[in-house]
Amino acid sequence: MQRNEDLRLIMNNNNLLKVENLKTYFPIKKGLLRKTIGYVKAVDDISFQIPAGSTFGLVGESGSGKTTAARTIARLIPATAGEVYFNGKNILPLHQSELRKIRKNISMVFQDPYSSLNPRMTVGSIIAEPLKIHGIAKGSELIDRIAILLEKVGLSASHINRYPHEFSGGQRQRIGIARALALEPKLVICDEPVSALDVSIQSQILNLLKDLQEQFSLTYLFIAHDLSVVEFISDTVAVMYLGKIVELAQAPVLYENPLHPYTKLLLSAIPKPVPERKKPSIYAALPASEETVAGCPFCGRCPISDGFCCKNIPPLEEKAPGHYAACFKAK
Amino acid sequence: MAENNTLLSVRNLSTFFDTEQGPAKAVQNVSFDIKSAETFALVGESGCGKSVTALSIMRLIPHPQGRIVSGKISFKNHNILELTEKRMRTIRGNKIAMIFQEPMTSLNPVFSIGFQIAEAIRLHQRKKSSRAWSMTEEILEKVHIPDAGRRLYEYPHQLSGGMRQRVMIAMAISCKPSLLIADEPTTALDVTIQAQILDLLDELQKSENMSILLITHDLGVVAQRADNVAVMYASKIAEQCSCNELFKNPLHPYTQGLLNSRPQLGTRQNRLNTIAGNVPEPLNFPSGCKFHPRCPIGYNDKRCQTVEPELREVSPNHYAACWYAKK
Amino acid sequence: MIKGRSYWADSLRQLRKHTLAMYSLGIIVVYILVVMFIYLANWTKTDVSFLDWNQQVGKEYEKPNKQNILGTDFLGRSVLRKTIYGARVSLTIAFWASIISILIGVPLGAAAGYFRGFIDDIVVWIYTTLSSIPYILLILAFALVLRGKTLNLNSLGLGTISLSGISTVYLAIGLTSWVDICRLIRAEVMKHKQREYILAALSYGCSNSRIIFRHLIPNVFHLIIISFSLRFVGFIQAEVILSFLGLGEKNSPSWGAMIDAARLDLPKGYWWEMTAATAAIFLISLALNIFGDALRDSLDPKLKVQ
Repeated sequence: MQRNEDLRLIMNNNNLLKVENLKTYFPIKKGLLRKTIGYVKAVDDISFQIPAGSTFGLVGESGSGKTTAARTIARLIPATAGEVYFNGKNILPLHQSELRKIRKNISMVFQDPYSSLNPRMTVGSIIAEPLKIHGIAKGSELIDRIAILLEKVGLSASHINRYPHEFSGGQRQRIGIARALALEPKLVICDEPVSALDVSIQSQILNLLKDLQEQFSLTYLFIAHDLSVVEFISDTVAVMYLGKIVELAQAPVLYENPLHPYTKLLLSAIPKPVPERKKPSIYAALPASEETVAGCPFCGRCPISDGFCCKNIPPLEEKAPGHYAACFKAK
Repeated sequence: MAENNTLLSVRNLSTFFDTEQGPAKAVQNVSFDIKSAETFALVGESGCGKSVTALSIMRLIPHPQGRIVSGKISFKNHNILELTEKRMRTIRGNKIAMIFQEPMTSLNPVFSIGFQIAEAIRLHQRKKSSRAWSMTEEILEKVHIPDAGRRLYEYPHQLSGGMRQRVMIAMAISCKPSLLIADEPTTALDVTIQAQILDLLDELQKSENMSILLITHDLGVVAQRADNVAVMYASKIAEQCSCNELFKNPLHPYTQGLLNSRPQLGTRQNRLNTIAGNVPEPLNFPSGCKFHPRCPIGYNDKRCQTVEPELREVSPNHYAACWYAKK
Repeated sequence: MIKGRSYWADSLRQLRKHTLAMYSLGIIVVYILVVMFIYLANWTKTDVSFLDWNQQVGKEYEKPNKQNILGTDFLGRSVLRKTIYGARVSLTIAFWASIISILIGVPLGAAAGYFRGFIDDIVVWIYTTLSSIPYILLILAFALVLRGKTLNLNSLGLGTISLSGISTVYLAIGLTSWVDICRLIRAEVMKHKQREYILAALSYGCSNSRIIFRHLIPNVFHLIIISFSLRFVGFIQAEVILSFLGLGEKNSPSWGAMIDAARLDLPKGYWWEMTAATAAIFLISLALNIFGDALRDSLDPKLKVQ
C-alpha cells in the first residue's frame, strides 16, 4: 500500500495535492419559489499544486474565497466544478465510504480557538475521537497516544481531563493541532490558525507548526490574510482576490518583486513597526466597489487599470519562470 | 502638575472585577496624560487591561461586578470619577467619544445608519430632527462614504465592515468631541481597509483638532500613527515613552519581545523569536514582576521574582517598570 | 492528572448558591417523594389504609378541624388525602407528557436543523400545522380518540397498555406539546452546526449520526433540561383543564377534578377543597418556576461571569 502511494507521488512529480480549475459557486435564491437568480462565485476557477513536504500559502482578504477554497478541498463544502487530486486520485467525486479513508490523510486546523473545540468534551476525548472513529487505538494505547500528541504540541499530558474553556487561546490552538495530527495525516490544511491569537503567541504557534512539519514530513496548505505570517511559513504563495488567483510565485520572489497591483497594495498596506509618518500610497486610496464587472475583478480599485482591463478577464500567465500573474499590465 | 494643553490626565487608576475567586485586578495603578491634538496609543495583548482602562475613562464599567477602586481622571478640569451619572452622560458621546472593534455589534441593526447618527446629534446638541438629518449627510461625507445621500437610509447589514466602521466614526465625531477613544478600531478589518481607516482618523484628528486614544495590540499600527505610547502588561504599564523612542530604544523586555517576535517581511527567517509562556490571568498574577516567568532576564532572578518594579524614569520622558532597564 | 472543571460542574456550583432556588428544589423534592411513596406502596402492596382517600373519615362538608386538617368533601372523604393522591396524578401526567414531548420534539428538531432541505421542510410543515390548531381542541380530539383503546406493545415485550384516564391524558398532552421544544432544538442545532468544532468533526470522518448525538445534542442538552422544568408547570395546569372538560382521570382524585367538583360548592361556602387543590398547584408551580429560572441562568453559557 505504501509503495503504491509513493509511486503515485513520483508519477505526479511529487505533487501531493493538485487543484485544477476548482469552482465553488453558491446559488442566490429569491422569491417564493426560491428560484436561482444568480451565483456568488466564491471560488472561480483556481489551479495550483503542492509538492509533498512543502507549504503552500493562500493569501487574501475577506471575500477572496480562500477559506471557501480550503473547505472545498477538504470536502466540507461541495465543489461546483473542477478536480482536486490528492496523491494522484481525484477526491471530489468520491462517495462517503471511500472519502472516509482519505480523511485520515487530510486534516484541518481552524481559526477560532474558542469554537473549534467542543466545549462539553474533555481535551482527551477531543483528541481521541478521530482515533476512535477510525478504530486505530483503544484503551491504554489510546491514552498513550493522546499523551504523546499533547507533549508534541507543547502541552502537558496531565491536562487530559480538562475542558477547553480552562485554557488560553494559544493553548486551545495547540489542542486543535494535536487533534489534527492524531491520524498522522499527510496534508494539513491550516485555515488562519494564528489570526485570532495574540502577537506573542502567534510566533510560538508558527514555530510549532514549522517544527511539526519537519518532524512528521507534513505538507501544509496555509490560509491567511497576514502576508508577513504567510511569507515566514510558505514556500510558494498564491494571492487570491474575489475568487481568483491573481498572483502565484515562490515566497521570496513575491515579496521582492510583486507583479500584480493587488499584491502591491497588500504589501504597502501592512503596518510596519517603523516610526515614520506613513506616506500615503496611491494604491490605498480607492475603496472597494461593489459592482461586478465583466473584466478583471480588481479593475474598480486598480490605479493602473483602463477600459480594456474592465472588459476582459486577464488570464493567469507565467510572466517569469515560476512567477504567474493575472494582469494585462504586469511584465 | 497639569500643563496647559493636557486634555486628559489619568492618575493611579485601578479597576477590579469581583468574581467567585476574589477580585480580578484588571487595571492597577495606571497613569498617563494625553495632550490636546495628540494621538496616544495604549498597546498590549488580550487581558492586559487596556480596554478596561478605556471603559473606566468612559465610566462604562459594568456594575456591580466591576468597580473603579481608586484613581483620578481629570478631563478639562472635571474629575470624571466624581461626576454624577447625569453629568457624565453630557460628556460621554459628546466631549469624549468611543469607537469599538466590532462595528456590527456596535450599530443597532434595526435602525438606518442615518437615524443612528442623527440621534446622537439630537441628543447631545439638541438640534431639531431636520437639522440633524442634514448635518448627518455632511458628516458622512467627512468620513468619505461615497453617495452619502443615499447611504443615509441603509441599514448596517447592507454595509461592508470598513463602511460600518466609518459610520461608527461618523457617529463618534458628530458631536465634535475633544477626545476620541478608539478601541481596536481596525482589528476586525482587512489590512487594506485598515490602512484607509487609520488614514481617516489621522485626517479627522487634524481637521477636528481632537486627541485620539488609540488602543491596539498591533505595534505596526502604533508606529505610524501615535505620538506617545504606553505598553501595558497584566494590568500595569510596563513602558511609556514617545513613539520614536519606543521603536528605537525599547527598554522593557516585554516590549523588546513583542517587537522581535513579529515575522519580518523580506527576511527569510527559519524560526521566529518568541516570548515563552502565556499571558497571565488576572486572578493568577505571578508574584513580583508580572512578566518574570516569561522574561529572559527575570525568570531566574530573585528580585524580579519577589519584588514588583515601579515605573521609573530611566531616561528623559522614558519610563519602564523593570529592574534592569538601562539607558 | 488534573481534574477538569466541566460546564455542568460550574452550573451546579452557581445553582447551589441561589438560596431561593434551593428552597424551591426542596419543595419539588417533597412532592416527588410523596408521589414515589404512593407508587412504592402500591407496588409492594403495603397497607396504606391510613392514606385511603376513598374512606369516609367524617361528616360531609366538614370544615378544616383538628381531625381533618383540610376538611372533608361531599362524601365525607378527607381532603388532605385527596390532595396527596392528587399529586400522584398531576405529577405522573406532567412527567410522562414531558418525556413524550421531548422524545418526539428533540429528534425531529435535531434532524430538521441538521439536515435542512427536505427533512426540514416536512418537520416544519408538520409542526406549523399542528400549532395552528387551537390547543384545547387538539388535546380534546386526541383524548377522545385515545380513550378506551389499548396500545399493543407485545412486539416490544411490553404487553398491552389500556389507555384510559391518566395515560390518555399524558399521551394527548405529550403528542401535542412537542412543537416548542422542537423549534428550540432546531434553531439551536442550526446555530451550532456552523461552529468550527462540527466542521472539524466532519473533517476527520465523523458520521452524521455521531455528530448529532455526540456533539450537537450535548451542547443543546441544557435547553432540554430548562424546557423540561419550565413546561412541567404548563402540563400540570393542562391536566386541570382536561379534568374540567371531563377528560381527566376518573378513578383517582386529581387536583383538576377536585377543583371541578368544588367549584359548585364554592357559592355554598365550602371553600376548603378548592383552596387545597389550588394551593397545591400553586406551590409546585411557583417552586418549578423559580427553580427553572435559576436553572436557566446557571446553565446558559453566555451568562457565565468570566
